[in-house]
Amino acid sequence: MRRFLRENSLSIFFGVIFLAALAGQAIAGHIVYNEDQLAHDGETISLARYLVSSSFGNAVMENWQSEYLQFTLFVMATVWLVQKGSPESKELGKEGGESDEDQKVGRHADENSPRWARYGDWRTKVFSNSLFILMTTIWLLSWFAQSVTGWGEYNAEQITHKQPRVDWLGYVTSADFWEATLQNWQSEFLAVGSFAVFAIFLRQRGSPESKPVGAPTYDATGQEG
Amino acid sequence: VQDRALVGRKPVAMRLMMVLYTTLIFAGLALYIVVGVTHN
Repeated sequence: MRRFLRENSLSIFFGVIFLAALAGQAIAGHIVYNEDQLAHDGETISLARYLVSSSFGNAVMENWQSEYLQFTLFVMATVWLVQKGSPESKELGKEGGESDEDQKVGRHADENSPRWARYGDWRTKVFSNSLFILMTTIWLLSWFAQSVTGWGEYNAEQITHKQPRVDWLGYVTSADFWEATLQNWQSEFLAVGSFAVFAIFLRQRGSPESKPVGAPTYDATGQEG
Repeated sequence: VQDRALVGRKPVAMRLMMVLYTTLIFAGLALYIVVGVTHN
């Protein structure tokens, strides 16, 4: 058990704080939702009902989609784009998918390589892009979930204000949907871009997200400490 | 570099983490897609 906790501490830690933050969001969101209902002479709902409401779902999915887009873009952009001096970048001159030899695929795979890296056919192609495929799938599904939950929320608001309902296409082309989407995207893009630059000049001793403390500032591209 | 500690035993814990995260994410996605679609 102790070995299990030590060997998986990073994913366990983030899983636990995710659930704690989600629970906190649910409790706070439920209070806000019911306060709003009372202010508009509406009916209050239980916490259990709130957890399966469009309101809560929309708040959760809106953030999920932007995080998964961020990681998807980061995974793909760092294949072709570089930042000299940044540990988040690959070395200059290595832009692109790299050779089969470098990537240990097909006949260059060794005995420890995953099976799908060895085949050298369509399965190797799929496996070579599997991280991107999964992250993109989660991003698109969560963005779709944001759109359908936001659509319900938007129409509930329209009814309250005696305005006509809109269809799904009307909602995904509305300013409401794009404001909710882009306000999340902009913060993710800024955080990633600035982090790639900050990591050229600054260090965190012991972190694989940083260069080693003594690594040269204007070089050591792609070096992780 | 192959982790020497892995040789000879199945990496059950790592697979468990993969299954837990993937299940959690897709359960959440399915739930709120259903909630959103049925709400309208």
